[in-house]
Amino acid sequence: MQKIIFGFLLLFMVSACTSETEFKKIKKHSLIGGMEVNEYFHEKSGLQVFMHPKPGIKQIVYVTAFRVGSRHEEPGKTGLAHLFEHMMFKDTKNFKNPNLLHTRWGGYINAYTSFDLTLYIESFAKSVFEEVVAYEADRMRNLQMTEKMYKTERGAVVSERKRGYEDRATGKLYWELFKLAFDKHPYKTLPIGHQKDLDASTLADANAFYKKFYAPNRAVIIIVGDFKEKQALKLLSKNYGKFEKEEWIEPVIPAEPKRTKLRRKEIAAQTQTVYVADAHLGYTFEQSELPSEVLMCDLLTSPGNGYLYFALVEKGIAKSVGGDCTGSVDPNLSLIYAQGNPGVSKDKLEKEYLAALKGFPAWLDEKKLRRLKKYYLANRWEKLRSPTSLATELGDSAVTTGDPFYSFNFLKKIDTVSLTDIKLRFNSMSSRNPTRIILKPNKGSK
Amino acid sequence: MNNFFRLIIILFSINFSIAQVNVDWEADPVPLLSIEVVFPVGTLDVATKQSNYHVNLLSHILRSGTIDLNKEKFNEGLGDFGASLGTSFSEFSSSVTFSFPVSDGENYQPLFDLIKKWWSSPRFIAAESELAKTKIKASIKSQLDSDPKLQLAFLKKYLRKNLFGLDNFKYSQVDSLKLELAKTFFETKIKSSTKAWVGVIGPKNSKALVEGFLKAIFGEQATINYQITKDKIINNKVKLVTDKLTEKLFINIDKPDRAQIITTVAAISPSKYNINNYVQRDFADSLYFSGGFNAVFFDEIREKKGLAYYVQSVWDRMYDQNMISLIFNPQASRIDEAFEVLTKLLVPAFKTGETVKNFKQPRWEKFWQGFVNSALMSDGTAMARLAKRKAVVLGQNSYKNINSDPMKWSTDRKKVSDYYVNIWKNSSKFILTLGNFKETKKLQSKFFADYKVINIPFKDVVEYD
Repeated sequence: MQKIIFGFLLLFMVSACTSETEFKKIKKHSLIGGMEVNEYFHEKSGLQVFMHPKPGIKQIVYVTAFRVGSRHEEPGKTGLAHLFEHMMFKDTKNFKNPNLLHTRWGGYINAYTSFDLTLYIESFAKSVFEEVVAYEADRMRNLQMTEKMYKTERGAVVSERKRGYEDRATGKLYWELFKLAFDKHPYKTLPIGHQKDLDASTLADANAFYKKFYAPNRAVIIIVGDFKEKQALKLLSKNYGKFEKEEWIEPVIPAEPKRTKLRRKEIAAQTQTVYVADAHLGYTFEQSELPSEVLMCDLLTSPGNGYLYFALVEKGIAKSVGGDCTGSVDPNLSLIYAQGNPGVSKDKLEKEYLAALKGFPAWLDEKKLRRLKKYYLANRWEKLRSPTSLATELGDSAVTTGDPFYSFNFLKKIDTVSLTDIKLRFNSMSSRNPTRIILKPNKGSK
Repeated sequence: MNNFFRLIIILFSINFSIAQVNVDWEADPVPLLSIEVVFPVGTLDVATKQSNYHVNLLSHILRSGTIDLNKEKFNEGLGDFGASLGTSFSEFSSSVTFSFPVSDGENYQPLFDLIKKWWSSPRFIAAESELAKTKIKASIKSQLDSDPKLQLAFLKKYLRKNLFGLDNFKYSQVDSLKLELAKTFFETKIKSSTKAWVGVIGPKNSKALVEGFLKAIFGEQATINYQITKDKIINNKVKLVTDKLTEKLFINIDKPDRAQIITTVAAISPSKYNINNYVQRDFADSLYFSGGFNAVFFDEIREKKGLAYYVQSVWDRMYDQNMISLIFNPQASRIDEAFEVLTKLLVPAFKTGETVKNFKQPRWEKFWQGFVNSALMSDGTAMARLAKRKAVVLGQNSYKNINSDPMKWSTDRKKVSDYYVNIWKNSSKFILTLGNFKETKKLQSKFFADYKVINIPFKDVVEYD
C-alpha cells in the first residue's frame, strides 16, 4: 500500500513538475495570406512565446527581445544597455566560447539596442534547433562574464562609438540633436552612451544590469521557420521550464517639460554638405495622434513621392530629405531633415527648407494620401515575407507596445487617417517648438 | 560609325530581337509581387571612357518618368497601385526591380501600360540630365564624408587605372557627361538584350500579372521560360594590363583628426575566380572574415583584443581576378597594437597557409548548410540574387547542388590553403590607411617597410587619377 501511495505521490509530483514547465497556448492569431502565429505563455517564469512555422525553408529564426533599452539607464551609466548587449555573446554556464558554436551552426547571429528595447536574433539550420534553444535559455539566466571579457568588449564598443559618432558628421548631428532637444528624459543620450560613462563602467555594473533586466518575465521569444510546434514546445519546456519570474518595479522616468521656444544650434564637423535637421516632440505608441504623425512625416519626406523631395531635391537644392516620426514608449523625437547639395550654404538650405514647408498644405490632396496608404500597406506586407523581418517585427512590437501585432494592427489606424488629420498634425508642428541643428563644414573639411 | 549605321543598328535591335526570359519563381503567401529582371550587360559594355558615370546618368534618367510624364506624375501613376520601380547597374549586369501589392479584382492593365510607356520612352531630356549631374556631384562629394567608402572607392579607382588600364572619372568631368551616350547604352545594350534572367517572389496565382509586367518590358513576342535553362557564363571583357603583379604599396589618404584609422589590406592576383575555385574562396572567406564572430581575423582583432568594431572582407574579386581584401576600423589611440596583431595574422593566413591547415573547428561540413539556406531564405531578394549569379558570375552550374543535402558537400583544407597562398604569393599588395600621414607613415616604417609609400592629400582625392 505504501508503495502504491508513494507511486501516486511520485506520479503527482511528476505531473505537477510537467505542468509547471509547460507552455500554455493562449491564442491563435491570423495574419494575411492564411499565415498564422500561435501565442504561448509560461506561467511560472512569465515568458511569452510566439511561433510561426514555415515548413520547407530549412532555416529557423529565433528572436529574444527584452524590455530594456537605454531608456532604463541611470545618469552616469549611459551606454550600459548597449555594452551589455555585446556581453550577451560571451560564455555561459554550459556553453564556453559560444563563438565557436555559432560558427559551427553556420548561420547568422546579431543583436541591437535602441532607446526602448534590446533584441537578439539568430538564423540557423533546422538541424541545430535543439542546441540553439539550450544556448538561448542558458544565456538568459547563466551568463558568466569575466573582467577580461568585459574590458575587451568595451574596446570594441568604443570603436563602434568612434565610427558612428566621432568620425561621422551625421552621427554628431544626431548626438547633438537629442542632447539639445531633451532636458530630463534619458532619450537625451543616444544608446551608444557617453565616452566617460563607458570608460567608468565596470563588470559589476554589467552583472547588476543583467540581474535586473534579463529576467524571463521581461522577455518575449519569437520563433519563425522550419520547425514543428510540438518539438519547439518540448525544447522550451526543457530549457526554460524551470525559470522563475523576477519582481519588477517600473522605474520613474522623468517627463519632459513642455517646449516654449525654438532651440537652434549650429555645429561644425568634417562634411562636404550642410544639413538642417528639425525635431519635434512626437507621440507614444498609445497616442491617437501617432498614425497621422507617421503619415504626415512620410508625405513630407518620402523619396520620390514626398513633398519636400520635390520642393528641394528635384529643384537641385538638397541632395536628400528624410524623416522618422515613428512612435516610442515615451514621447521621442519626430525628425525631418534635409541635406544640401554641394555649394548650397547653410543659410540658403535653412531658408529654402522653411519656405518649402509653407507650401505643404496646398500640395496635399486626397489622392496623395490614398497612394501613401498603399505604400504603407506594401511595406508592412513585405515585412511579413521575410522570416527575419517578421520575427524581428513581432519581437520589437511585443516588448515596446505589449502587442506583437501592433504594426499590423496599426494599418487599420492608418486607414482611418483623413486629410484634415494630416493638416492638423502639420499645423501643430510649430506649436511643438522644434529643436533645430544646422550641421556645417569645419576647417578640416574640403 | 556614322549616325546612319548607328540608327540602323538601333532599329534592328529594338524591333527584331526576341528576348528569351528565364524565370525563377519563389511562391509566397503574402499578396505582394516582387520581380527583378537581370540583363547580362553592365557599365563595362559602354564603349566609351567614363562608362560608369554615363550609366549613372542613365540610372537617374530612368527614375525621372517618361518623355511626357514628369517624375511626380509618373510616380503618381505607380502610387495608384502602391507600386515601386527601380533600376540598378553594376559593371557586368543591369537590373529592373518592380513590386506591388496584389488585390483581387483590381485591373492592373493601366499599371503595365505605364511601365510599357516608361520602358519605350524614358525621360531623355536635357533638363533631367542637368539635374542628374547635380545629383551625381552630390553623391561623389558625399563619399568624402564616409572614411570606409572613400577608401574603398579610392582603391577601386587605383586598381582600375593601374592594373586594368581603364579610365577613371573625376568630379570635374561630371558636366561633360552626355545624355546621348546614356541613351545609346539603354537602347543598344539593355533593351536589345536577347536574354534576361528574372527572379519572382509572390503568390502562386499571380502568373498573369508577372507576364503582364514582362510583356510591358520585352514585348508580346518574348519567350517566357519557366524551366531553368543552362547558359554559358558571360565572358568578362576586362583584362589585366600586366601578367606580373608585384607591386607593394602603402597608400594613405591624409585626413587629419580621425578617431579611428580605417585600414584596408588588399592583394590582387592574376588568377581568375571561376567555377573551379569559387568553393575554396567561399570557404576561406567564411573562415577568415565572414564566418561570424569566430572568423579568424574578427576573433583575433575584435573578440580577443577589442581593437576594432568591424573586421570584414570587402570584395571577393575584381573583374573576376581573384583577390584577398580586408577592411577594419582600429581606434587611432590603439593603432600600433592593431597593426601588430594584423601583421602577425597575415603570415600564417596567406603566406604559409598554416591557419587553414591547423584550424581545428568542425566548420567545414556544416558551413554550406547555413550559407546556402541563408542565401535562399533571406529577405525577399534571394531568387533575384540567384538569378543574377546565374546570369553573370558563375553560370548555372554553380548552384547544381542546390537541391542536394548541403551536409554532404565538402572541400579539402589543402585546396583552400593553396588557393589563398597562391593569391598572396603572386599578387600586387596594398595597405591603405586613412588618417594623419605623420602617424600612418610610422606604421608603414614599422610594419610594412618594404612597401612603397603614396600619400594623397585629402583635398586631392576626388580628382586623383
